[in-house]
Amino acid sequence: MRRLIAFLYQNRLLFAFLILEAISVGLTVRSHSLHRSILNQYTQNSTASLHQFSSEVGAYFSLKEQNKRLNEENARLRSSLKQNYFSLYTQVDSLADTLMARQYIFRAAQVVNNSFTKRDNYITLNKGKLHGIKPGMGIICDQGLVGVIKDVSNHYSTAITLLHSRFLTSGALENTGNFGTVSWPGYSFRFATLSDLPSQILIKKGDAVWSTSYSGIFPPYTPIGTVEDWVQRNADQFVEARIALAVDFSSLRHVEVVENLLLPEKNELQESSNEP
Amino acid sequence: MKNGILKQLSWFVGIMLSQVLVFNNIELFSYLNPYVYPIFVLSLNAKTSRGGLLFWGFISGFIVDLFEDTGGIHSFATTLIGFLRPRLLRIVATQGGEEFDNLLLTGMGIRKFVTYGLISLWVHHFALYLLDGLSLRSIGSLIIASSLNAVFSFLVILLAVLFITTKKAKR
Repeated sequence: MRRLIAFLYQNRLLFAFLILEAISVGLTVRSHSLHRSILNQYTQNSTASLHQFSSEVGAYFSLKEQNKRLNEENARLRSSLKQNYFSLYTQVDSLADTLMARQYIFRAAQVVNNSFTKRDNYITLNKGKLHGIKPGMGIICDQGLVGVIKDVSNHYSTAITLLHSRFLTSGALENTGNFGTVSWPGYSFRFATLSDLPSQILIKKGDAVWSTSYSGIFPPYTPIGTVEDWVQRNADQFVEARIALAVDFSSLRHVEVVENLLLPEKNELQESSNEP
Repeated sequence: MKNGILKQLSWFVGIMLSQVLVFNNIELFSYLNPYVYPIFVLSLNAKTSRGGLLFWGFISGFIVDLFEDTGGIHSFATTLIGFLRPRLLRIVATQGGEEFDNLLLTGMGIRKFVTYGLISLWVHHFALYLLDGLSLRSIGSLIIASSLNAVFSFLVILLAVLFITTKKAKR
């Protein structure tokens, strides 16, 4: 026993080193799992507020570009207002519209921390639990699909973006309607992969890839990207396409969080069908 | 003595804030991101105990991890260079670094500082990239990415050190 203690004492630096490295690896592994470490829950608020400060300062540098984008979006939305349309239909037959019900709610949020160069990338938004944000909601911006909310605190939320090894969603080709899995292989924030496409379909460079309504997280027809090139793996009958992403993740600032009001109902139904 | 600790702490806070607020936002060619904070551990007083090096290594990496949301990859890498520092220093120093006035450009001279800094930063970046994308990068791209980024970080450090030391000399 005394020799053991003497041994431990003699090599105390080595052991301290090994313990600290083990802690680091543990933290890394835990942050990769979907359940974020408890520690981050506590530190999130303080780091996020410093990020917000830095983001507010940084926002001035891209003000012009962001204003232009918002302007364009305003114009687009304004032109789709009902009052801009001249009705060709003269008969009025219904007062209350019972054919339409709201399915998606959009909440505007700003990105206060953004990463896009790592293997697994996260963004922090300045809206949280108090604003009605819940984990699992989708995020889109004016350019297209961005990511999914992962954790929320009272005033902030963090999200995994499309640029994350755990992020998978289904994407469909505009022309043929065939769908596959969108994932991110790493390396460049401008490109992602659309895999599991059947090999007999015709693909062209520049084909648009849209989100589908299968997951229920994103509204269908949200742009994801355009086809850049594709390969067929010899071993199977599937085609894998490389797509240029629609969203420029390096200049992400204004985003919208999507809530699908019918999602719980859909999930419940699907689960009950799965039961034997 | 007390003054020394205060100076060290303000140096620490300054480096950490500049890393988190400024350098984390620099992304050259979309994948070069300068990590200047290891210079704190590398430039700690030569008399610092090995336990102290480990401690500061872990703490500085941990803080960057919190802000970058990267789990523990930075603490892993900086703890590693904290542990290896005496050995890294032995490459250029004969008396464990105590013959130098400080472990920066002014104390070591350009050749020794470049050798010591570049090798240490490469070790740091290699450990960082190794843990960041363990299963997804090939060993070749791992070496290329960590080498490029280490050189870039070192250039940024060199500029920053030149800027700080010339300002002091003028006074």
